[in-house]
Amino acid sequence: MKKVPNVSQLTPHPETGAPQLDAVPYKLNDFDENAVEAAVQLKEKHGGTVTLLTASRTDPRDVLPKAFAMGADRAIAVVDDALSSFDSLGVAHVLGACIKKHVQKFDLILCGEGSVDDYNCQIGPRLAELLSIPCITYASKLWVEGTHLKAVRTLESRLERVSATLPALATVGMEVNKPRYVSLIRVMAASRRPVTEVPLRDLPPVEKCLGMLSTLKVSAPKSLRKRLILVGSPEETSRRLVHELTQEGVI
Amino acid sequence: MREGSGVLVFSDNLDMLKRLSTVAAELAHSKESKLVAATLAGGATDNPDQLASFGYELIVRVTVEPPVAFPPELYTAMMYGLLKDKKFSVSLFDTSKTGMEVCARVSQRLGVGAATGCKRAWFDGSSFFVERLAYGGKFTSVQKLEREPFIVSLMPREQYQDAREAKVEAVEVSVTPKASSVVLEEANSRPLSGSIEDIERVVAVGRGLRRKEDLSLIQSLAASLRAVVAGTRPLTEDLKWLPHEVQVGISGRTIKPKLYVACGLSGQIQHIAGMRESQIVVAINTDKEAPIIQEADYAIVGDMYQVLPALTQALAQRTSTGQSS
Repeated sequence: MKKVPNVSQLTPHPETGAPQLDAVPYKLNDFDENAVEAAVQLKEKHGGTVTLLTASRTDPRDVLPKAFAMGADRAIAVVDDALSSFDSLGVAHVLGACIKKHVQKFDLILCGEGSVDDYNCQIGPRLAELLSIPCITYASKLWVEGTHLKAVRTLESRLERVSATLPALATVGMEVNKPRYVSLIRVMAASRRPVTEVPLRDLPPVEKCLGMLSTLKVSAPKSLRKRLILVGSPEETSRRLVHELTQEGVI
Repeated sequence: MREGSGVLVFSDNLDMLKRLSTVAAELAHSKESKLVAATLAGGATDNPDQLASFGYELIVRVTVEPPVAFPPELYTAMMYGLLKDKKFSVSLFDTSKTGMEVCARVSQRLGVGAATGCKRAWFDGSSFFVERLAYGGKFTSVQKLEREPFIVSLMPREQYQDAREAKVEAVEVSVTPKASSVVLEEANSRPLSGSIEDIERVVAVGRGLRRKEDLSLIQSLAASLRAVVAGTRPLTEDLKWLPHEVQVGISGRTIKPKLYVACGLSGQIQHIAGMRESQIVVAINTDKEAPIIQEADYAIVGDMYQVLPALTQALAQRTSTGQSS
């Protein structure tokens, strides 16, 4: 699970142009909600426990209650400011180390296909490689038959039906399900659910995974777009727009 | 070619190999190294004449032994086999689902980082940089990769290289068969009825559309603009109100029409990546903070249910009064 900023509310700093990450509300990554929903549906059908795992630079206890309210049973979190400079290789290392030490036995790992803020789409595949388990990305349908995970993968120009022996890892997007609605009361009640916090220093050293990819600068792109906002009634703005587009020579 | 240099490009799609060749060539020439295409022997891209026409100087034709059936595992084995001996300084992948997955898995096996979904990649001296969109497309980040091979998945471009004389080299990659492979039970191609890549005008719609029946509003506008209707991922894959081949975005089509009218769509990074190079962008949205507004030349902040009929009418009136188009 990834705690992500609500990107639609993120604004650039007036001087540096950098994103003001401490001035926005945070939420659960959208595709991770699909993953939780898929996990809970499997639990409702086959039994078992759903464990949430997250590594974030700030306390995720503000966003995890929703996942608990949806039906997750427990949560493990690595919280450390140092994580803000980790790339996917480093984060996968941390998550993998956590799984090996604190989860040990599992049947299935579900991830969102990517995060809505970075959309690197690397964590799922890296984690599967690290744990030497089969990897099924972009699952638009998934189900369990005995000791096998079955899925339909939706690619750009083909659909695949695949199967893998458990334990396995799958990544999902919005097509796999519609995350269930949970009331604010249930979410608030879930805010008291315990989260096992694992200090970064308790995990095997991550140094060899760091420093491979560093972010030098994040700034609002110099958009060459005109960004002309037409103001007025629908009729007035439409007439003005038709005029402008005619001038542009595109209609 | 200097040992440890060379730009190795992979895609399971021949057209993507063509569209990656320009950036690959820039990178190769700034390091005086070769532009190399990796292809699976007998696969969809195993066409040395075509690859040479795209500008590749060396084609590495790989046989994986024993054969691996599941494509992501097959390509990961193939590319890891080629990259682990450190003969290449850069490896480029496309931004398709397969490209992104193989990119991540290969770099994990090599123990290096990877930059996925990049807009640009370049050398500055011996330092390697990429530029990619961040935080939902509102921001751009510049990142530096520190350790070779530099692994990047890059958005394709339209400029092409001139043809070259290419050599073909056959390589065999051995794989340790794993009990834990994914079994491919069935694969079916998704019918692609037509390309929207060469269309001049597009009207795209997102989740602002309340009901499938309301598409008639979009279609009327498209007709009066002589445009094609396209949609965001939620409209095509999730709600399935439009066919998947008109999905614009990272997991759909990348297009650059003369005119792109975005109706009731907020402009998520994955969508913007697919229409960023449109000549003129118009956004119609009730939310003036929506990312699409930053990506638009002209924006009307309003309800598309009111604006679209008015716009369709304004276009019809223009034509009927005989004004030039």
